[in-house]
Amino acid sequence: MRVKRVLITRLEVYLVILAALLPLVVSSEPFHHVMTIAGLYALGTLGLAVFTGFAGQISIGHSAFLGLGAYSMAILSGTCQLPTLAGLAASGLVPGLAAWGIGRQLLKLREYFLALATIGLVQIFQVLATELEGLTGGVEGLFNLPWLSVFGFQLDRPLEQVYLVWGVVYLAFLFGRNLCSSGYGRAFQVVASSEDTARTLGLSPEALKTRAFVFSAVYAGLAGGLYACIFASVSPEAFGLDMSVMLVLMLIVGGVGSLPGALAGSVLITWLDIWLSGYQQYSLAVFGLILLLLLIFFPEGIFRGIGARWIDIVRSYAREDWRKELRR
Amino acid sequence: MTGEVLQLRGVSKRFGGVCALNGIDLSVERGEIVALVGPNGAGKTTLFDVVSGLERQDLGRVLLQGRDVTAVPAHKRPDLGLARTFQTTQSFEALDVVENILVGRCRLHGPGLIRSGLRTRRVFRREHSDLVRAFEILELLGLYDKAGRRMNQISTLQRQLVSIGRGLAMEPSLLLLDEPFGGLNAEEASKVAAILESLSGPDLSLLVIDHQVDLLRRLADRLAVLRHGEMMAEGRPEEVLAREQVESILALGRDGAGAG
Amino acid sequence: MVTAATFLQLGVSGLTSGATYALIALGFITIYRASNILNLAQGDFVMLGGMLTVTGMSRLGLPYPLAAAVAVMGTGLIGLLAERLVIHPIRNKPLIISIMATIGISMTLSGSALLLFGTSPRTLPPLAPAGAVSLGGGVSVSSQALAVLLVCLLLLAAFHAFSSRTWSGKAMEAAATDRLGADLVGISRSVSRMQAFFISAALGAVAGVLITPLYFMQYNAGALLGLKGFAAAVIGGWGSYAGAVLGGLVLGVVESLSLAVIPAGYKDAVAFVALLAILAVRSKGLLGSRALEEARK
Repeated sequence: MRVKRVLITRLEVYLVILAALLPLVVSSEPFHHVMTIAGLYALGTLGLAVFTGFAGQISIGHSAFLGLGAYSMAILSGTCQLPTLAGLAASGLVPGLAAWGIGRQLLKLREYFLALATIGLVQIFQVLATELEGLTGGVEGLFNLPWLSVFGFQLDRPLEQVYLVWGVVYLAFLFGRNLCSSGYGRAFQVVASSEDTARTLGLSPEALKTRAFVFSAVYAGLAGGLYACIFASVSPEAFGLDMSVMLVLMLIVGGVGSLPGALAGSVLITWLDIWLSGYQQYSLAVFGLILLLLLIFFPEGIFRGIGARWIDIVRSYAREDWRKELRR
Repeated sequence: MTGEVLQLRGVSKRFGGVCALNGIDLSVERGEIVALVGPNGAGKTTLFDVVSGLERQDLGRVLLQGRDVTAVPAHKRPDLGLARTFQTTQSFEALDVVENILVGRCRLHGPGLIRSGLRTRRVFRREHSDLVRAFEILELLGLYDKAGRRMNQISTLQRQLVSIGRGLAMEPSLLLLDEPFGGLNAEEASKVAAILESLSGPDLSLLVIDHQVDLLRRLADRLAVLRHGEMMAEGRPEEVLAREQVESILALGRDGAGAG
Repeated sequence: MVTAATFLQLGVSGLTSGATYALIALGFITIYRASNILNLAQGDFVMLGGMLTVTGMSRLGLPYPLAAAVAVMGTGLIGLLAERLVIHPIRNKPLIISIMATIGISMTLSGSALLLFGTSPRTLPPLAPAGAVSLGGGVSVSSQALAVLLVCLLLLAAFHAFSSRTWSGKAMEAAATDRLGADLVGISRSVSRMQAFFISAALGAVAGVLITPLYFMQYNAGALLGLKGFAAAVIGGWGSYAGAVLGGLVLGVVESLSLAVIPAGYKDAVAFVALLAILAVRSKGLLGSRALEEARK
């Protein structure tokens, strides 16, 4: 058994290179745009994968954090004309702080009660976004938001945007994977499994759950911030329950405890959503049915999330010379 | 005072109408193995729950290393050298054997979230040293060749050992074992007993609950008998077990004893 | 500006909406007690009750009472179907699966409602002839409100009688509290669950029929209504029928009174804030319930 300093495998490097070449090969702008959207969701789903998959807490309210992030970006970079990077930082910080503020109390709830409370979060967010008109532009939201600009370079084309978003996604994925492969990730899983056992192991379930919550809120917020830069507008309606449910659906499709699953699920469901949007009225019912079918027949998802973990200690049966191995 | 890793003084605990513990006095000295026996429902697990902080006693005091821990929350007690196992081996099915052991090391003042996410040198070195220690423990328990197996692929004996291993990984000075011989036959149980004996020493004291009195008689330095929440007898095993009262209590207990 | 009379008036109208919340809450509790599942689609049953009644009247030309009855029965059957087709197959799977399953049911129901009824809000004519009963001091209750309260109270009484006096009602209770015991005695958990879904769906539908004349109904109104019903159940003390009723009434009144102090747009958030407040201050709810404490382990 060995502990790897860097968790990136050779296969992964090849896959990343292939993925990076993809937008150049398939050069249609609609394709780029859809993949960008998928990337935004992937970022949100990644955070949720840690919160739900590892720490075992249910949330159907993460669209509220996406929305908070989006609006933070919109208000700071749009209304206040601050540099977009500052807006992006805020889009991660604001939801993180919010999550930190309410997390302790909220996470005292379990299971269903938590799920419902998170639904309530979305309601509160939407109400606030609609009512605080001066700040948020009310029901219509805010428009004409600036493109993200990095060192003067404006990212206004789908090609640039797709690289930006997926670049961020990949970094987020690496961070998340490092986290989940470490003692921290194990601690999350212990808390998810049994809070009392966690306590006897010296872990504080309250602290850990809150941290997972904040983590996922920051990811969702960043996704929201990028959303604002790409769609150039934000409105309360966009960040409702539909989005939250979609995030969870993406998580389940990919496999609940799986980080790469979060990415795969996001891509798949985004394409499904785009395909169904042609049949606008049918999409809700069809999504509902697909969700039900998945849950009944295929609840483990692609990467067999439930029960599987993306932990990257090299799996092999230990040998007599393990001491020699480890000393290297 | 010196040398007592655990002291219970007058500990009482009620659950609704039931008195689970009534004025319990018990102590464990450094390097001792103390056995706690009694029929089911006597309050043994409740006692563990009170010591580990999962339940709070109504009356009396609990002292770890001479310090009153009544106000100390459960998750801070391991910092005082406390570790415990559970009756139903609480293993994390999704993790394999070595990871189950590693779980015991989560607490030991590890790196924070951001550092873990960045996988800094410190994190890497921590992981490495944790893994080395986990393997030392596995070797000690004779499990090193099962390190990569899933929990559902190993035997009951091995599961019990993993449970103990996890406790050891916490580097405790006092290990509470709740039915470590549960579900094991005589031969397996004596293997575990031998391991426990080799583990105890000036740095590690053990408080063991179980029903296999014969084993405990040989293993323990002192034996305490609990019944209906009351301490019926306490002292050297031979002496305690010779008492008639105790004989009959334990006979009852043995008939009613099962896998917990 | 805000006189005592206004306050009282708001309070009274709050009782009316509160009574409907009580019905929704009862639906939640019923399913929960029979199956330990929280039916996140409960609000959609409410929505269906209203929408199906409207459709019955406008497309099928049924008279009001008949349309309502058909809608209630129909929704009950839909609830039953949901249980058989979805809940039953996944009954042993992990929690997140069952949570998502009820969400899936909710999406399917509201999605179908979107397809069948479109996006425009619908309403129903009032149950009672127009007019108001004066309570003195400038406060009056519309006869519609009285009708709603009356129906609710009758239903609650009937429900109470059912669960405590009839065999199947008691069986449902038993199945909830002691599974093994219930199995041993021959009470089928599966049947109890089916019953619970049917009853809850029907109760929700009745609430829908009562709410629609007051507030309009839309294909996606289910989520918010469900949330309010849930909040009501928690406020009153999760797990008890009496708590559901009390919680509903309290929530209705509080929500209504809040209009006196905050802008109307925030009204819908009041339920959630009240929920959080109760959870922070006294999670047992007003009547006290151990269920949440146990859920905290």
